[in-house]
Amino acid sequence: MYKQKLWYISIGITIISLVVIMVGFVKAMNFAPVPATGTANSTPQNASTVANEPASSNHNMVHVLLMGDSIAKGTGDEKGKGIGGYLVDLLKSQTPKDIKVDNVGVDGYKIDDLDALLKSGKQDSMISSADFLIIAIGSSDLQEIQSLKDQEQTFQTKQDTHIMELKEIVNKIRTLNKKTQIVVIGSYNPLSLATTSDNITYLDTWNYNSQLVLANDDKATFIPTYDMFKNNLNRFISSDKLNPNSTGYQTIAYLISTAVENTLDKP
Amino acid sequence: MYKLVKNEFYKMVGKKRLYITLTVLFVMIAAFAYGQYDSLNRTKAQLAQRLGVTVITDWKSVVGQQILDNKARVDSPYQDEDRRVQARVRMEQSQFNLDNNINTVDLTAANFTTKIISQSMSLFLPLLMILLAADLVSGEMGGGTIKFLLVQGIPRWKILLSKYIALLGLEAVVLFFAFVFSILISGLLFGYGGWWEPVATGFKIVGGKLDTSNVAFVAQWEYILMAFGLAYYVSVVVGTISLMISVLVRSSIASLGIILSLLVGGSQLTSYMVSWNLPRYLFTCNLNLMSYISGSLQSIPGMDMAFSVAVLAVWTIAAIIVSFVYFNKQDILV
Repeated sequence: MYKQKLWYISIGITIISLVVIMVGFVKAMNFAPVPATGTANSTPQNASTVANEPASSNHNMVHVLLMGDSIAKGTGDEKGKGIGGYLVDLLKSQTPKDIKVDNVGVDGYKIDDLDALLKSGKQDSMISSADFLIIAIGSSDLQEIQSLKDQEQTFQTKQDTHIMELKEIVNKIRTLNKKTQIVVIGSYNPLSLATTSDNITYLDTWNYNSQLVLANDDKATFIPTYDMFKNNLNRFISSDKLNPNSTGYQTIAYLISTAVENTLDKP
Repeated sequence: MYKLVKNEFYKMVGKKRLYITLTVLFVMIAAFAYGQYDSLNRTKAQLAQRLGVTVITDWKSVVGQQILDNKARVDSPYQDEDRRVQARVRMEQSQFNLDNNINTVDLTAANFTTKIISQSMSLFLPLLMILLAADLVSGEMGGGTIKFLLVQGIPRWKILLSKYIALLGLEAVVLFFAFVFSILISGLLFGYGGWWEPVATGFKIVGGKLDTSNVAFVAQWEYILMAFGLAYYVSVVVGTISLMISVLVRSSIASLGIILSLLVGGSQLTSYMVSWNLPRYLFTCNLNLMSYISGSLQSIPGMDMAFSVAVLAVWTIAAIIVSFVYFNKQDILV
């Protein structure tokens, strides 16, 4: 009896399944994608715009935007947090607001790339909504000089473009957002050996001139890092011998949070 | 004939083979559902930590972050070109879904079912079907029971046909249970909704860029229907080939081993298909039919739904012919 029942149930299931499956198979065979005609309930936007909503209108949110090279991105941090991650932790104790971090840092970015990115206008909405704009750029440009023979000459031209483009970047940011706090992270020397006095002079001159760009802007801060890294290379540099490690990023984030502390609304 | 099929059915059910298959199916679906559930929560928690908020409620912020991550990959000068193309395509696809308000982040019973059936189509589902089919004839040879069948004076082709029909029926039953299990389990975790949500299909890649001009929206239930239709087709193909091997080889273990290694080894050839033409004529490289519907991200020139279905059909028909001819002529000495 039980066997008989099982047989009929199975036949029933089989027949129903087969019918459904046939329908599905025929559907799949005849499936020819028809161009979308707004079947989904929305209006397509320009595909190149990035999704994040501007947060400028939101007064209960601190919006931090990181731009620039691998140091902005957080490459080398074994905990994957980067400056942004540690900064959130530090700012949380300083403000009751929510903190939102956007990171558009890209490994190996040079100042040309950043300048082009800003000129393209793709990041305009994010820049105009940012309360803090953290820029780390120029390390790759500076790095290149080391391997060259005609260092003096190249350094001069490179520094001139760097300064010029940094000015352009700051100006562009200021036209979009007058209130944002700009933080520029200085370059450090990641190499413990290649420290001839010439090289150090280049680094110092480079940092000094970058700092001068921000001198007249009272909402811009230059955070030097070479001093912190100088004697702490084995503690602060990650295994790629170039980018900071977790402790290094933590230190930079700490410097930034201390520098901008007073510009936040206190709890 | 009806009695023969019924008899074959009882044999297959009696061997507990079906129950083992269903248990494996249940366990795998449960594990997959929990894995999906866990990884979704983990992604959200990680993102919440990165953005500095306590909880992520909006799927759009998840997609937004995925877009940013992929964008960073595209812009990075250290990526090789293949990866860069992949990242760009993924970025464009997420952007498209976002623009069209298609939620691909949150899970429902419906989209989980689609996911599991399309992901299992090229390996897991065929394996289950092999479990059912691989010793259909060789098992009787090995056990010596084949002579009881043959002495009844029924034509040999009828015996094989009844086995084949019972197999096709049971494959449908297995798919039915795959559907039921998947809905029941995933519904517990994700809720039983999502049947009317749109799915974007028909993505194409042209010259390393995503072509969305052919994208169509299909309701989730239609998509599931198509997935099961294709899954059954794949099951029939694999089942038939297993049957052929079980006719050709006398030992059950050997037939199981042969078909398993064909399937697993053959599917690894898939990665050579771009440059080498031969593997595309193997049945194992054509099992992933669902990718033609969803829009495969690495499409190979000359391969489309019609091609794969035709290749599979040729294999199936050939397997049927070989099975029946060989079974009819075979000397059976037990």
